[in-house]
Amino acid sequence: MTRRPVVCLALLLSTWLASTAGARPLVLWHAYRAAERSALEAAVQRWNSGARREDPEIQLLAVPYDAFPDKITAAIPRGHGPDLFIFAHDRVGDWAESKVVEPIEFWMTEQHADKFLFKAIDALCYGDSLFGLPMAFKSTALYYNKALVPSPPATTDELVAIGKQHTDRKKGRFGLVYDNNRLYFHAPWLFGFGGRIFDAGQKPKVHTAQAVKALAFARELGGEDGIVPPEPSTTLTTTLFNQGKAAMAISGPWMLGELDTKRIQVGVAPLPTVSSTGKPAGPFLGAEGVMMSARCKQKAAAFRAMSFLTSDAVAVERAVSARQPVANRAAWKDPRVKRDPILSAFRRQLDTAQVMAGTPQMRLVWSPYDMALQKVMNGSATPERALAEAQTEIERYLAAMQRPKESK
Amino acid sequence: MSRSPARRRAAGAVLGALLATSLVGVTAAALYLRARNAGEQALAEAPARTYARHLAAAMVGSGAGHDQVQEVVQQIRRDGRNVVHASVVVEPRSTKYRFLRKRRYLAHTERSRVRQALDPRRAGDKEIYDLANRVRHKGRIVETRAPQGKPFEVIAAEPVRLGGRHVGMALVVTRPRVIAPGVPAWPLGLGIALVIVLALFAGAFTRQRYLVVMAAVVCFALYARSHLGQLEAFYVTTIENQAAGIGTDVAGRPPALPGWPLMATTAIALAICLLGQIRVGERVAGALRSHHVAYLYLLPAAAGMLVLVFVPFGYGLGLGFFNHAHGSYTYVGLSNFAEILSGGGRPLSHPLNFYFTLGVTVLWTGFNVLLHVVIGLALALVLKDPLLRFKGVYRVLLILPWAVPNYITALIWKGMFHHQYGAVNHVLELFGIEKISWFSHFSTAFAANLVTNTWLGFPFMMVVCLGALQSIPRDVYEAADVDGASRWQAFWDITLPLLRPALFPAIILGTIWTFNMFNIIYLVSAGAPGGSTDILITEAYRWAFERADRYGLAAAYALIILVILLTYTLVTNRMTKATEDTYS
Repeated sequence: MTRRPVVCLALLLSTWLASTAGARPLVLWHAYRAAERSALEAAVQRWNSGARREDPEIQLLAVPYDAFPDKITAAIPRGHGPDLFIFAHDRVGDWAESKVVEPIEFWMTEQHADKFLFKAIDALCYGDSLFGLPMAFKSTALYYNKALVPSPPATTDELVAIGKQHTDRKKGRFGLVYDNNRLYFHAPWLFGFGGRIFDAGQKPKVHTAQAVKALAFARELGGEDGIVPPEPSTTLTTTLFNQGKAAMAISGPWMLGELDTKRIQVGVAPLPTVSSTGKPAGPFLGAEGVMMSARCKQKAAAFRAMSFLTSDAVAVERAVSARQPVANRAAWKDPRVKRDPILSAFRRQLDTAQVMAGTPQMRLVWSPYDMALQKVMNGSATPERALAEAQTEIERYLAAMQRPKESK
Repeated sequence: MSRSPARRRAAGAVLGALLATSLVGVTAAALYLRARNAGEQALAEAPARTYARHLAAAMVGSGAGHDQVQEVVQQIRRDGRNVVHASVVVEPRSTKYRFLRKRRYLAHTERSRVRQALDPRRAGDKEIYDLANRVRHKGRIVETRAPQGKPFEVIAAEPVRLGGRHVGMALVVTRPRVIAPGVPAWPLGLGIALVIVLALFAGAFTRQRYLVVMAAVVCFALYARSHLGQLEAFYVTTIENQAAGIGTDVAGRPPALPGWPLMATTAIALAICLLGQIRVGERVAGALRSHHVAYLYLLPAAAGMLVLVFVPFGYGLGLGFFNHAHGSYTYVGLSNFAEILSGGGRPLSHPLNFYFTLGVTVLWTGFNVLLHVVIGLALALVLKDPLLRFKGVYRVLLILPWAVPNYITALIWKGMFHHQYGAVNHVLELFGIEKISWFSHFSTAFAANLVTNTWLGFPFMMVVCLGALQSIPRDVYEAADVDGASRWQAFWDITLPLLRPALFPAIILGTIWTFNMFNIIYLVSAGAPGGSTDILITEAYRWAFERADRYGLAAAYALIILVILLTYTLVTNRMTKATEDTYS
């Protein structure tokens, strides 16, 4: 909340600049850093100096990632928000329900939609509307230290075997590191064991036999004599992997920028198949999309800008210079993208990844599920009991959310 | 500046009477305007609404036959009544993408657009597309809008269902003439003026003056009620006649006026009059008159308090009675409080059960305050020693933890408790103790929080004790020494009782701070494991911003915390007063 004045000031400044420049520019908020940021800036530079002079310029504003969704939720309904913004798809449902984002399918055609990887564009869909064009898809995959692990494991049995070789808890060395307290990182096991989050009627159903098995497996990995360190976090993942104290890690493309590639030979591979079911451990798939504010004043022009930022040419550039796993089909045919071993590993991971629901129901699942994971990892509950509790908790939240609708 | 009591009394009476009558007057005026606007709106919307229904029925009746529907569109156009647009939009779905719908016009007032798809390049088509989306989700829509510089338009859209499936919408836009109802507004104005005059007149009486005002208020309220009833009836009959003119029974009614505002304000007005009868207004007016400079000085601070403290407080108080979902709030009465106080159906050992969290909070507060006082007092006694050298240096060093912003301290401690890299575990290893996973168990996580907050909290108690110790006269100790009291006895019988007046308020303050110590819990243990180390205030925060956007429940939590702390303060205040009495 304390940052709001700063943002207000920045906005005031930007609107003032806009008013002096004549035409109102399109303000675009993003949370990119480092290479991704410069790739976006290069693309915007091209748009601003491009041939389409009848279209307004794009003005960039970098907003910290943690505060991003709350700022969008607070600013747009009050008319202070951006015209366009880039964010993951997981809040789309809430934003669509509270009319923060604009449905854009009016301008879409099948040919246009065909340009994108189906899962990526499908993720940005809520109800029966489309709320953004995909910039990139993000999922976790298996990172491995090539010096310790010459070839990545293909099954979980191999994963455990390799992991055991490289685990020495006394010396602080671990076979695998990932944030096993969070559903996002646990999801591959859940899906690999055949578990789901929603039943056929789209109601959350987390207490299933498969989910219990997946959780028991995660506990085995993270237990007292497992291969995963206790109290993991994303920071710990990066640190241990960078120090060479973790042979393997589960993380997403965002970790690439933080890796010490001089010290560590980094390899990325799709997550292994679960040995007991034969199913691949498919991670959650998130789509990062450029979305339009419902309060945008120049919607047609804003859509043209969105199409430009997600066009094949710009996507190739983003993939090459920022190593973004972009969502354009054509970009993956480009030799420079195809030859990148890490990018193509994420591309292969996409085939088994499952689109993370962007619905309000999904938002209710995170916190109880994370709590269940925590309890199981510290041994204070059995997987069976932890998931049963999570199920009742989610149902309670659901009842509270649906209450106003019934009374109308 | 002394004035006669009679004049002061009269001024008070006028003030009260004015307040009472203008309350009722303003309410009546607001209701009148509302009734008028709602009536006008319903009147203007009725034709569009009726036509849209008619068009949708034609579409269903003809089984989506192009020519028949286009025929009805032309009919509606010819019928007059300011129809500027009528169309039927159908929406076959893309088989490939669930979001793509190829909407096109089945019928349109512009013949050239019939069977044409909605076109991004044409002005207005986006608006119609959005409308079709809304109709699809919400059903019928009737709206009035006034685009800038244009006459206002009524938009009526009716969903069309064929064979149980939503296939599109019928849309009619009219530009109705403004209809002036023949209801004069002057009796209302006259009524208000009359009542105010009456009130002024009544204020001049010295006896029984409020009974006159009360009678006037009741008469006026009754008059306003019947007048508003007539206004409502006028709109209802006019709209029904109009619908009959079009030849259908579909008609919109203006929403019925609520009866409670007038009743409520009448009751408030009567209450004000009764207060005036027992001369409350008089006294207030007297105070305002005789101390007007003082009140003037207080005004900025009072306004600040009102805006910054009481408005948010009132907002939070109100929010506790609502439930939130997707930005809309529903009144749910006391159910938020019931949910909290019943434990929400969770067993007592569940971390989200209110009583569990309350227990943790009390434990947390108790341990903290105890440790703060004991350590603070002990250090103060040591620092008081006249033979101690470098006292100033120690004092600065000991106050330092207090001077560092507490979230920074909290984050440093959190790092020190880290399993792999934390300093605490490293020290433990030096002594051959195995690394502890601090945030995996309730007891260790609670201890980590406790250590952090003790580190932060004892300097305050130390400073308070140091100050109070200075004020204890030396000769009391000398006298005790002469009587042969041991140092222990001197501490129990002299130091502690004489510290009590300074220590008690500090303890109360410390308790309230610790009870609501959000930063430490949120940053150090973050409620781990499984939310069990959360205290009430972090629990409330999580309900609002981390769990399910339950702002209402969080507000109810906040209110319960307030009640607990208020009770605690009142009880301890009484206790300290009692102790002060015995010693003074």
